[in-house]
Amino acid sequence: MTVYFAPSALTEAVAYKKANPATKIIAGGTDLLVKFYEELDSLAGLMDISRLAELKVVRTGEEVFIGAGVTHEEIADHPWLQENVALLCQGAAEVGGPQIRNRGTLGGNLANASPAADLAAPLIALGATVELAGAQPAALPLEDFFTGPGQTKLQPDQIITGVKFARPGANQGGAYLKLGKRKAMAIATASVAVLVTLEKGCLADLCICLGSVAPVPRRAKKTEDILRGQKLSSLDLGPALVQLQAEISPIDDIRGTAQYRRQGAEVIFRRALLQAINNLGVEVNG
Amino acid sequence: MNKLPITLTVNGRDYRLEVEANERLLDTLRQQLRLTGTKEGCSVGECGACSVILNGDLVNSCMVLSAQCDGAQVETVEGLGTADKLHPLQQAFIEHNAVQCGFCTPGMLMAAKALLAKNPDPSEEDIRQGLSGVLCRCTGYQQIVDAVKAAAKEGK
Ligand SMILES: Cc1cc2nc3c(=O)[nH]c(=O)nc-3n(C[C@H](O)[C@H](O)[C@H](O)COP(=O)(O)OP(=O)(O)OC[C@H]3O[C@@H](n4cnc5c(N)ncnc54)[C@H](O)[C@@H]3O)c2cc1C
Ligand code: FES
Ligand code: FES
Repeated sequence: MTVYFAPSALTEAVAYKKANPATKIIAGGTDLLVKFYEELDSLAGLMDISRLAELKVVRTGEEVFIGAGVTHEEIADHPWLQENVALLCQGAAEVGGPQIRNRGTLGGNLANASPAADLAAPLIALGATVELAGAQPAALPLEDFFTGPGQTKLQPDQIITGVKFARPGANQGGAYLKLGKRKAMAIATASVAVLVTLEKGCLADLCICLGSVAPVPRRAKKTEDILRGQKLSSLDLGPALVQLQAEISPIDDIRGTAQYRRQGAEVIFRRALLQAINNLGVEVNG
Repeated sequence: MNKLPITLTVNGRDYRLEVEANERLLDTLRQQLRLTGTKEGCSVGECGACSVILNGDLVNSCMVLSAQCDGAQVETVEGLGTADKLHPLQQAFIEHNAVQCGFCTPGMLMAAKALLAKNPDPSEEDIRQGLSGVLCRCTGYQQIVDAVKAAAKEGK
């Protein structure tokens, strides 16, 4: 028999989770109810956090905060986020179909820890920190949060409250691209998020994160190192693309072979990088 | 007993119900309320046959627990029109041969209704996006897109 509890405040949710660590958190339910399909009776306890107002907050400004309970649709449709972090809205808009986007949340997407999670790569590229409530409030770089497919550093008594990141500057541009079997309702076969910083005609800095090509959303740091500092007028992607292959470890599965993923990752990475630069009004070839 | 009391407004009618903690909105609609217009296809969010409108948003009723819906407004295909007076979308589906086996039709109608409520003048791409969470194995979609287009035009 499943015990159901719907806290009305975050403090109540934290206390309940501490006292009942085996209780499953349910937000939008779009991952949980699939995982427990035909086994709903095996759920000992459910804590529904879908109505916690504290988790539905979006704070805009120099420091951006998006609550764990914010849905994909709310992110995709948010005018300020579209204006300032289009790559994240792009990720949210790519999730499932309208039904899934209306229910599925940021917190669920991160806690579920699929290597294909469409919000993970853009948020890592933005340098986001994930904020956790528990016995002690905690925060860690999202990049370090994932430990394997479906695995994170989240402790049984912790709840994700949201993510925080700095608003990208006027000289920063981003892009998120996803390769899937079809346009809608497809889990990524490969995905890539890129955030670039341009200064004086140079690629002064960049952050690259790939999805579905490693056990966790994978930052390609050595590829970033190769590209960092390059002049836009003589951008040479060759060595970077070789390095990119060394930094990913895709597998064969129902959505594609490892070889297909390697080729796809390269194509979408190149496109995303050029798109991120073009988004700043700068034309480049590469 | 471990049943949870909830209130639900379905197609404008108020209900006081008792639901299991792990009961899906789909089960409550079909089994408790006998509103069997809402279909169960895949049970895992893929097919959209179970689509309903929850507090104004299109959702898969197989992906929502009824306990999560306490106090909510739900619209199902039964609330669209009556046998004497069909909803313009239903009429357009008939006129454009957008129904073959009919299993996807309730989900398609609700998806179209949710779309038109938010965007009364959708482009073809908007329509395809709006319907993208519902699978149809029969029509090839074109007739359904045409029907929604026609209903939107009529609604203007
Ligand atoms: C048909 C279909 C298509 C999909 N397509 C995509 C897609 O294209 N891209 C994509 O990325 N995902 C996709 N998904 C997966 C899913 O919709 C998303 O990952 C969604 O964001 C999950 O959020 P939720 O609120 O529904 O999570 P839930 O199912 O409620 O929870 C998921 C997990 O996270 C835990 N959890 C939830 N919130 C918190 C929190 N605040 N703190 C701690 N733990 C928490 C739960 O305990 C559970 O283990 C799809 C799912 C379906 C069914
Ligand atoms: S039965 Fe709900 S989406 Fe298929
Ligand atoms: S009419 Fe048969 S599935 Fe659409």
